[in-house]
Amino acid sequence: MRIKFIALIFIFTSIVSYPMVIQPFGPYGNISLVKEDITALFKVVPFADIEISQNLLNIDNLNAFLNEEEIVIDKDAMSAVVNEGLNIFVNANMGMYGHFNLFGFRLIPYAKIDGNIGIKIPKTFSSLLFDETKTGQTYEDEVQEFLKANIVMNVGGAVVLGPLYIGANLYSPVAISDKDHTIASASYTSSASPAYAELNVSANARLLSSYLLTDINYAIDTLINDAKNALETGSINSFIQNYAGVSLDFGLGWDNFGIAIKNFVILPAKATYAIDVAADGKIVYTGDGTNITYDATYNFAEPSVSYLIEPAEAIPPMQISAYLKGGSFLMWGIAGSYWMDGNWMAKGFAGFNLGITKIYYMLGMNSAGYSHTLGLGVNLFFVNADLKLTATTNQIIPVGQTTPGVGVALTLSGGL
Amino acid sequence: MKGSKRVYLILSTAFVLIFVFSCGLRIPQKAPEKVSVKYTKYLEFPITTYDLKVKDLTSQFENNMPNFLTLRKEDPIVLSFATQVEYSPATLLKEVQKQIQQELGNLSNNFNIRIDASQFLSQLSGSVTLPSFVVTELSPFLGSAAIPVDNLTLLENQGVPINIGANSITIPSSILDSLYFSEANFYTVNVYINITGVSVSNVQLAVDGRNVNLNNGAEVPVTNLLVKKSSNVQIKFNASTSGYAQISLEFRNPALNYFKDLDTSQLSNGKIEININNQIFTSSENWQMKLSGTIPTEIIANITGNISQQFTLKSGSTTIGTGSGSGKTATISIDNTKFFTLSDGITIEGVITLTGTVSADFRTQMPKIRVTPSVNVISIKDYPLAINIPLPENVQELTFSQGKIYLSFNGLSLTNVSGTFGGNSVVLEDESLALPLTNVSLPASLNVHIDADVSSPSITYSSLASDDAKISMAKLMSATAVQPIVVNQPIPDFVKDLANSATIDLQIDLNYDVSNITSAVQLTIASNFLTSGEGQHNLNGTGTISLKAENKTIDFATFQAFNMTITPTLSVPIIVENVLLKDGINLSISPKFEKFEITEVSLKNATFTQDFGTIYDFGNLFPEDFDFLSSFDFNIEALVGFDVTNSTLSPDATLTISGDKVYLTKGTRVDIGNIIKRLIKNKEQLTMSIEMDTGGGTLATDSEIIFTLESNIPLQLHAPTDVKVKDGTIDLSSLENLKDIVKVAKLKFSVFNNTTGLQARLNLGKYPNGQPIVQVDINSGDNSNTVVEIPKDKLELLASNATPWEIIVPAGKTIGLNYNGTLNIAPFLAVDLEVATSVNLRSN
Repeated sequence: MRIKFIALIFIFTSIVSYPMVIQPFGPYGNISLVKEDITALFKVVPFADIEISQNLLNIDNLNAFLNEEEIVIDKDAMSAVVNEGLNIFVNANMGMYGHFNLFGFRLIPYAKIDGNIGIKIPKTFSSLLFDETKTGQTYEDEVQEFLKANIVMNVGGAVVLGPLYIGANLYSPVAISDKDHTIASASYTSSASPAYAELNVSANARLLSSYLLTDINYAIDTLINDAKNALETGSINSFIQNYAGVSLDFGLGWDNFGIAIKNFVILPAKATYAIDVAADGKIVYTGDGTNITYDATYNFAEPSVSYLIEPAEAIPPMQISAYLKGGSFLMWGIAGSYWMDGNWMAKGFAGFNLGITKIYYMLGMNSAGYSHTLGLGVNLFFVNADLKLTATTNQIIPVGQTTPGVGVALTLSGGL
Repeated sequence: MKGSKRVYLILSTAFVLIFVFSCGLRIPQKAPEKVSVKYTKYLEFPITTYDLKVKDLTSQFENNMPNFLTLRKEDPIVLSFATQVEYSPATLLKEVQKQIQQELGNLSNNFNIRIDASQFLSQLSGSVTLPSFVVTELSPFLGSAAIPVDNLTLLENQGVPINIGANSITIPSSILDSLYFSEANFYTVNVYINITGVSVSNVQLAVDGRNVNLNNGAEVPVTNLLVKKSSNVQIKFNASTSGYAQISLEFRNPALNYFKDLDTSQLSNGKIEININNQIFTSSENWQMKLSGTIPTEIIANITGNISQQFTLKSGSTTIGTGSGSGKTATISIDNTKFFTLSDGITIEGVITLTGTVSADFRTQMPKIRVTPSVNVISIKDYPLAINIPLPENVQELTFSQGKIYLSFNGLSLTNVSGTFGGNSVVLEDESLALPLTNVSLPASLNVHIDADVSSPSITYSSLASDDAKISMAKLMSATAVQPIVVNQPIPDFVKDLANSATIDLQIDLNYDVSNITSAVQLTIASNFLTSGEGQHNLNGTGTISLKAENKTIDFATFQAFNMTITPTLSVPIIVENVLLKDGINLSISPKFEKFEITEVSLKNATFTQDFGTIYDFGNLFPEDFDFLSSFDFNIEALVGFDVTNSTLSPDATLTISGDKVYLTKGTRVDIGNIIKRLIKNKEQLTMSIEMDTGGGTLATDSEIIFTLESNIPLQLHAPTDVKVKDGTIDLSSLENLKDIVKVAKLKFSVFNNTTGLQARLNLGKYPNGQPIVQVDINSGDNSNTVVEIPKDKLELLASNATPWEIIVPAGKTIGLNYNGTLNIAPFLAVDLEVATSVNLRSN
């Protein structure tokens, strides 16, 4: 009877308190939130999410594609890409954490890969492809870090005691774009008198990594050998220094409010390899009387991987996140995150907690646009799941010319 | 409870709807099976430019034109021609007058021996040319067009883990950051690499994508290697063994022709020095001079930063000036106390020092130093003056017995002289160079060296003979003087046809001078028309022989030709002794035409005919490219005129112009524009003959019978039908590729200005009925608003490898060819691209 009562209380609390709309390891994450995953003893929680945003395809054309109508590509349909240049951004995270609850003292080991890749093509291209191209018009632009990659492996653990948590994180850069050596520029100019047109394109990209990415087998073998050697010889420190950096996370979290500081780096990670790609091209057309010339030259340098004598330091920007939430059957909340490099995102959600299922709508925004998310949570005590379907857009109300993106996030958990 | 469930259900549905709406998506009933895409775009692209100037084309006209035809450079161009036939006493015998004048000129030339002081002394005058110093740009002043700098060590025994296979090592940005420049171009450098500890091959240095092959353990010369602090510098090689390698990389003996923000304090000597050693003056002469003044210098080079300069001016081992400056300019001051020998030349030696943070770029503009001498020669020493005095023309020997010649100089004052004239030593007398004449025989040489202070850059000298200068003996000899002159001028046939006789009134004076010649000089004159002056004349001192034909009537029935012979007689050589130079010796004749008139011409009472043959071939009027012009209607004004002035004669005349007869009476002008128009159209020859019946009578001195032909052909033309200017075919088969993606193409013009006067139409392509597919009107003035629309269907028809085109002047248009006219066209293509395609997604 007593056990039954305790179990009932437990189930009730967990049903009420496990919306988990804000995930402990998500972009608004606060590890204190693991307290809400109704773990009695231990639980294993795999999670994955992917979000793609782009500005090439708009809603009209997406609908045309889905409904076998004509996809129109003209300057109006492509206004977003003409005005901003082609942008594609993919953000993906996947990983797993464990939750050991020893009477309120919680130990959270985790492993995850965080990755985002953004490509921003100079506007000159999209203008030439989709906009009206008139003589006498000049396009010229340069995109610093046109390829933005940040793929990092993380392994760590956190201790949660009451509202406080402290986490230690080993992070290892898999691929990070080098801002100073990643640049693309393009220019186009034409004139009718004198008859002249010139297109110039040049792009250089450099990715930094702790691994020899062109030879993954070798990279994995070396990693395993180095790990073995480190364990055998006890030189763990040098192993860590070769492959990873160390950062700390701190946070406070209550039911209604939480704040966390993440990526407090105490030992920067080092990337020992650089991958370089370079290409340039030039087309010149001239006409003078019957003397018409057309000259095209281009160079493409094979990607080359190079050992960095002086490894590049990879320091993720420090992040501050906070949440404020409330309600029970009618749940609501807001959360925000700010990275010291200027990046930010915020969201607000509201929904219904129907016991074993929760359904909620979430409006998010960041510097790039908006996201509309429909979330569905299922709580079967031993097994829990949270699925979020997201549509991202560049306007708050998505209509014809807006360019949508999609996102899927799934968090499962199993345990006691 | 049931009710609340319903509420939840409604709310949930509302949520889903909101979500779906928020995505903006219309979810299809089934998965799409095909994708249709329509791509449209507006594109403008330049084609070419034409700049046609009419005046560039008219040279074709001008090259073909005879003298009497002129092209008037007006708008429109006017071709005009004028020719004239004149019958008058003044012109009938002008050939006779011309020949007599010519032959008497020969007599004067043959009979001309002269010795006098001025003629002699003019040989002893001239100028002294001193060297000039012009603005010079010294280039290049660098040994190899690049500045040598310190060796650079990029890696020194750097330990690096190496794998078997391809390895690439990036030079750390911290090392590149520590370079003493932000950017530099290594014009030449020896790249040394040494990799030890592993076995390597195919060693390369890659700098921003440029790969340079290296040789492990050795230096490899490399040129034009651009390195920046932001560069991506890598060492690449293949390793056959793995392990830990030691790598050293050095840039040895580098020389830069470009650098930006180079910090000289990081160089071993704390500065960059550019040495200069250039000759600014060379000469092969061995005399000496002293200079005064300054030489400002300026560095012409793309250099910024802290610049200081130090210069020394040298001639051989003598320092003749020093100077210094900061920035790009400096001034060298000349030491005006130092003599130097010209053949030692002048060399500018110096050093330009760059300190602090400096930038320079010699890649496109080689550095130069502009030297602007502002110097004067103030003294000369041992200046050589050498003059040869030859014997005067037609003189065999000449010796002086006494006197002196004085050379005086302007622009310098002599301080010392040495040397000889004809074997006599020269002396300095009253600031003049005195040349004693005693026993000097011509030809004689003056060879002296002078020292002098120079007061002017332009130095002249002239000479004076002393009053007592005397020729002791001169021997004169002229081979041509004894040659007779002969005049024989037949009467032209047309003169005989036109006239019975003419009365001439003629006087020619032969002025002679045979001063100081004692031997006999004679002229014997014979003719068939002189009335006085014939016979033998003895010449003595100075005098005149008058040859006259006073009112002499020439009867053309018997008189066939004008004949005259003048025969000189004298004994050669002529010896002259003891004559003062100031008096001189002369043997000369100069003829003077006092009068040559035909006072009256008695005309024949018969029909006079003269045929001038072909005057111009109008087939040559329009060169090939302008042949189309002959198809136009011309508005030609062509007038022939006939007049008789200062005479009571009133003959009738008939001009036959290319077969057409034109009847003329005295004082009339007749328009023959139609005849000329026909000749141009039919490309015929213009021929002309004159037929005239004077009915006898006389022409007085000032009477004239004149025929004139004047014509103006303005190139302002009217097209009676379509006139084809040019035609041909053009390969437009490449449009075949475009026709599928182009919805409509337009030819537009950013410039389309026509001031040529031509109003034409371009026809491109042809429909089966012969109508043009595309027409472009070329009107006068600004046509830049012209838009030629070529829709897809026309584009398809034009796409052929031999599309016909023609430029025509449409019927009814009046065109003019303006000399100052131009046709400027800058066409560009404006196309609406449209590509529609669909792809079936079903796998079958």
